[in-house]
Amino acid sequence: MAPGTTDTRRVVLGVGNSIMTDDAVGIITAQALEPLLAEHPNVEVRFSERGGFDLMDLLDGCDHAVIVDAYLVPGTPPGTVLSRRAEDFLGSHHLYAAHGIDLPTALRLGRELGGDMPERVDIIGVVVEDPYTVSEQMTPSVTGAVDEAVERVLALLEIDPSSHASMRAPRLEEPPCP
Amino acid sequence: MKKISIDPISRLEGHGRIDLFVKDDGELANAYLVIPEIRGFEKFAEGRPVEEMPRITSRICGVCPEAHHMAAAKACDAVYGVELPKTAKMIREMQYSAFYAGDHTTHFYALGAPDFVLGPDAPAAERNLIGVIKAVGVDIGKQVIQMRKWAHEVAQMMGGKPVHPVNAIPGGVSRRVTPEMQKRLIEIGEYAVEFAQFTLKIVDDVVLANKDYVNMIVGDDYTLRTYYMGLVDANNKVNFYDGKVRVVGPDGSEFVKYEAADYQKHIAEHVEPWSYLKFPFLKNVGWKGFVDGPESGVYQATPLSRLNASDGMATPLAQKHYERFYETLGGKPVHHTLATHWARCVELLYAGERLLELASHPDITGPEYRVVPTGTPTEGVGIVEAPRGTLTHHYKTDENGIVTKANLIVGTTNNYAPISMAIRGAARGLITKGSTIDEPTLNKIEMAFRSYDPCFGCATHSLPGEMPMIVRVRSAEDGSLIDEVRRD
Repeated sequence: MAPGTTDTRRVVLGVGNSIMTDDAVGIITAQALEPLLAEHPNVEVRFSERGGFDLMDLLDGCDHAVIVDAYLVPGTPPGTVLSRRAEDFLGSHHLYAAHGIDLPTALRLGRELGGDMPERVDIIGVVVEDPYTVSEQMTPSVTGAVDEAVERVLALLEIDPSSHASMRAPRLEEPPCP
Repeated sequence: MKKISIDPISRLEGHGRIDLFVKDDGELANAYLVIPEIRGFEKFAEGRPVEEMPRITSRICGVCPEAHHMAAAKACDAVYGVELPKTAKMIREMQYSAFYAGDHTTHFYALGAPDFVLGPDAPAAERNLIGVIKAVGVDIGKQVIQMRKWAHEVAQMMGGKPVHPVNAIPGGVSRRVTPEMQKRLIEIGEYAVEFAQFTLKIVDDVVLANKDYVNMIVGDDYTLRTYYMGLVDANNKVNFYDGKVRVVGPDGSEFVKYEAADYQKHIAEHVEPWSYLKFPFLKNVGWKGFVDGPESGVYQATPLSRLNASDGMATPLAQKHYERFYETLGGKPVHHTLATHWARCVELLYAGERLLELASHPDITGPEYRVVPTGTPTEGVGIVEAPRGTLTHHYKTDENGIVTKANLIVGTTNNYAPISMAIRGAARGLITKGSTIDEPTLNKIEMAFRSYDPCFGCATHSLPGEMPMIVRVRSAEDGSLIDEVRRD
């Protein structure tokens, strides 16, 4: 099914690590999208704190996937939201998918093995400041970028953001009280 | 002197950079691996109830959450001074064996095999899992995927989430194994054994049958003579989940064997000004720099190390392959870094056999899968073998079980110094006066690094962009950029 038609099976996939400061941004953005997309047929929100092979399973069974992830881009201000397509990324070179396979390889492998892989994969990346400190609190610039990331995802899904009364970044859970 | 940086901008599981320092005449002076540190874990842990640690620490890493989960659970057992019922121990080890089967499968087929099935000189775009499957057949690809899926199924079945396990708790596990579950676990175990045997046949047919590969494995470029570390059972056989830490010297003789709680008597950490990450070494040998040999406290903790540090495998089929491994490579210990891939496959078979053995045992369905801890919490250390090396969790708590101090030594950290040394060894053989640093050369250097399956941090992050790898040549004198090669 061609992307953009009403029967298109769409998946929003938030990836990241929810306890590594800004690395949580993909997860947080997907969490913010979940209630906004609840009423939309054929759109499913998925989450993953793993990559590699798991991407293959997570992208299986849809026509159009939008992945939200953290980007580390030296020289680009944290909080910048970038859009990419899966085909912008070339094949796996081992080291940049250090423990498995990268996204293009996951897609190709899924197809080679007869999986129902998406025709189109968009990636919304939020440039992060600190993905190395163990913390459940993102930095202010990245927290402030969640709304834009949400809007970009909705635009890619061709959903009018004004149809939703409240659009805001979800609050992070407070750490449990000792 | 020039500095060449191999900068793998990693997408999924941490990133690192390799710096090669090359003299003006082209001779390699030194090589270091520079990797980012996970910061703030201790602060994050302090003030939390210790029983939360198995769930929290499993989130640190998107690659081996099960290893952190188990080490943390064992440390919690020790904090509360609780002895697990037999069934609880068996369930944990059974589940951990399934995790190993999935993890070792991924490493071998996605990272290790491409260099051998397709060759280290094959174009980078083909030298990956897709290339391997094209070479050996789609059916094998399907089997690889099934092994991973079924390994995840075990984690899911035991009541945990497939990604972040939650079922190991202080004193045992949260869910018992029913007879129906046992039936399925046996089926998965049988498949894991069959799959591992088939994988070892690929090692035979593709790697060992090729003289050039064997020569490369046993060559000096990929050889390091260090101490080796691994957990062993009461019979000094490899064990991933429990036992004592055994260290053997470069000559293969036992140097020390200690309980988890005593790790600080034996391991110290060296600091270098250019890296935030510390370099663990054997305290009672001492830090002598990035050198191997019996005088240097550098040790390795890898699949190869575990085989070297043990007297064998506790399951029959893996034991046969263990014996063949040493017969083929000239006896114990084996010092060849690239043999780690083969050692990993021997461990894959052990993981399958152990999974099947534990799943088939009548006591696995026993009713005593947990005891409620009643002791006053104090301090505890938990050690397991993560696929990438010995993993240590150490917690101190107040009398209410609130963490006051936490310390981790993660798998790859053990190998931080040897990885740098292995890269240097490989690069030295490849980069000499007047040689060009081309793609196959870079790959052969990375092969030294890859055999450790290093894990530098945690789950996602970093740019999956148009520059998956950058090689920078810089002047060591003034830092100016002399050359840049991009691997797109």
